[in-house]
Amino acid sequence: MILGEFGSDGLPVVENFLTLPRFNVTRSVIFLVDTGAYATCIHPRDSAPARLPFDLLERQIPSDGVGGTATYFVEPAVLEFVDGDAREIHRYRIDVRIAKPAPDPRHSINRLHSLLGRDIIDRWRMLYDRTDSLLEFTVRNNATANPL
Amino acid sequence: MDLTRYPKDDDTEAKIALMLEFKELAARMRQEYPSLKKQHPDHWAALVPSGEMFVAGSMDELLAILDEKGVRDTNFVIEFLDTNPRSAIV
Repeated sequence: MILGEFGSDGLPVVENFLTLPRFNVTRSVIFLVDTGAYATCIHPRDSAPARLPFDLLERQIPSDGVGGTATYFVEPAVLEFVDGDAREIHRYRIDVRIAKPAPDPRHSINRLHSLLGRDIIDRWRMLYDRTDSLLEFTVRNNATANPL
Repeated sequence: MDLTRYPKDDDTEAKIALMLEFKELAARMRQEYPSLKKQHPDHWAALVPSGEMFVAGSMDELLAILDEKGVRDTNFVIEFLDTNPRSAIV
C-alpha cells in the first residue's frame, strides 16, 4: 500500500521520486493528489530545485484550469512510489506536464504544489479519510494503463 | 544536482530508505510550518537531511544558499511560508 498524508492545511499529498531521463534529473517530490487534473503536472517549486534546463523543454501545450490558462511542456518521466510494508517500488513511465517559472516570484504557478493527475490515480484504489487522517493507495493489477 | 544518493541500480531497499527519509523531512516541515510562518512570513524554507532548516526571501535566494552550503540533494523539502494563501482551485 502506498501511503499519503494530509498537509498542514489539509492538502492530500503523496511523496515519490520523479525522474526526467532526458535531463538525468531525479528528485523527491511532494504531489498534491488531484482527481481534477487529467495529467500529472510539475510546477516550479519542484522543477527549479532540480536545476531543470527550462530552455530545453520542447512540446508546448496550453492547459485550461479554473484559474485560467497555463502553458506546460510535455516531457517523458518516470515516477516511483514506495510501498514500505510490501518492500516494493511501483514505477510508472508517463508524459508529465512541466510549467516554467513565472518571472514574478509571487505568481501562483511558482507556489503551487505539483499535481498528481488521473494518469496515475486511475491505476489505484484510493482511501481518503480526512477525519482519521488516512490517505492510502492500493495499486490495481488490472488497471487500464500499464506500469513500466 | 547531486544524484549520488539516488541508487543508480534497482536497489529497492536503498530507494525505500531514501523515500522514508524524505517522508520524515516532509512530516517535520508540516509540524514546524505554523511557527516558521510566524517567524519568517512570506519567505521560502528548506529542510535538508542533516536536519538544518534554511530560510530566504525568495526561492532563488534559498537555492543559492543550499548550493553554497553544498546541501542541494535529491532529498530536501521546500515550502513557501504563505501568510496570505489564496484558495487554490485545481
